[in-house]
Amino acid sequence: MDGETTLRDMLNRAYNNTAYDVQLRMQSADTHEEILKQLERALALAIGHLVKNRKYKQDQSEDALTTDIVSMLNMNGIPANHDVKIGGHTDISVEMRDGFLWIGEAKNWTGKAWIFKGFRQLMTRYATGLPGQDNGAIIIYFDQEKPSDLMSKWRTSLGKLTEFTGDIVEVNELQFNSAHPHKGTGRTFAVKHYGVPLYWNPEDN
Amino acid sequence: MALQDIKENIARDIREPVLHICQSLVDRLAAMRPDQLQRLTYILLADFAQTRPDDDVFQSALTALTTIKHNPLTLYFVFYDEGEDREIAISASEVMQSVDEAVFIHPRTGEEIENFTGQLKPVYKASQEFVNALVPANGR
Repeated sequence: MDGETTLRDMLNRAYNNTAYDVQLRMQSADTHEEILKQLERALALAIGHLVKNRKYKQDQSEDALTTDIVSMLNMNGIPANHDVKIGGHTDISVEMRDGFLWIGEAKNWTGKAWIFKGFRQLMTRYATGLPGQDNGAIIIYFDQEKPSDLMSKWRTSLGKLTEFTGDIVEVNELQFNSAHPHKGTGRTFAVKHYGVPLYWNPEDN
Repeated sequence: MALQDIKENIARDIREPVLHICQSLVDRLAAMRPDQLQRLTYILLADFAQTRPDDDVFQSALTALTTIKHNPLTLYFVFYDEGEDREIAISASEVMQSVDEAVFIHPRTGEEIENFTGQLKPVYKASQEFVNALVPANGR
């Protein structure tokens, strides 16, 4: 690109470069919804990268895995932080212009109770529930086989333990979305639940 | 918000290797007059950061500076209006909507413009918050 860079140049570059496309659209975003959409695309890229390199991620702590995700978001110019104090120490927080705030709570799968603890932290400790701050995520790292079965268990458990403002939406076997009343504001707070499959046990040796 | 606060916010929320490019850009922009901060091209900003315009880290720095809380920069596009021999500024969100809909309407004449992606140029300007922060810092 040079001083005569055009939109066409940018679109050509973005054509096979999702990370660049995310950045272009994030820079252009003028609504919280569009910022959120691009942030979630960037998060999906980061999770995909983590899974692709799962061989090197065995036995890592929650903090180490989460720091990897934060670093990948940072590399895309996204102001993500780990362990920032927002009502408590958040696993991932992304604070942006126009009052946008997104919080992700990340847990290693050790059972439904541990994930529910993270969910309650997100909903009752960290989330403000204000406009532009009414979306978050639960990110679950699995080093077990068949994480889709465990995600299903988590989804069923969540259905019994909390209130909803709409139906649970299953995106795929490793992701579902839910929406809940935020007690502090009375508004709806939306949560996306991501399963991160890190099981690694090659059987070719 | 003071310039120092904007810089501290950048240092808190952005990591290396993106951070040092952001800091270089902000330091350079802070030394300019507000009227010089309204049309900043890729090549100019890359020159300020002493990098190539197509460098991935530079691109990430621009993303950080346009999206961070108290963002110093805003992306927009300019369209050259041949009829009046002048550039017309168009918001980046409007341009991306045109991309998604594959339709761009001439902002003055209302005519549909073909091959519009080659006629829109991306430029940056300092945010109002950044300009406001410069006034007490530079006394301008």
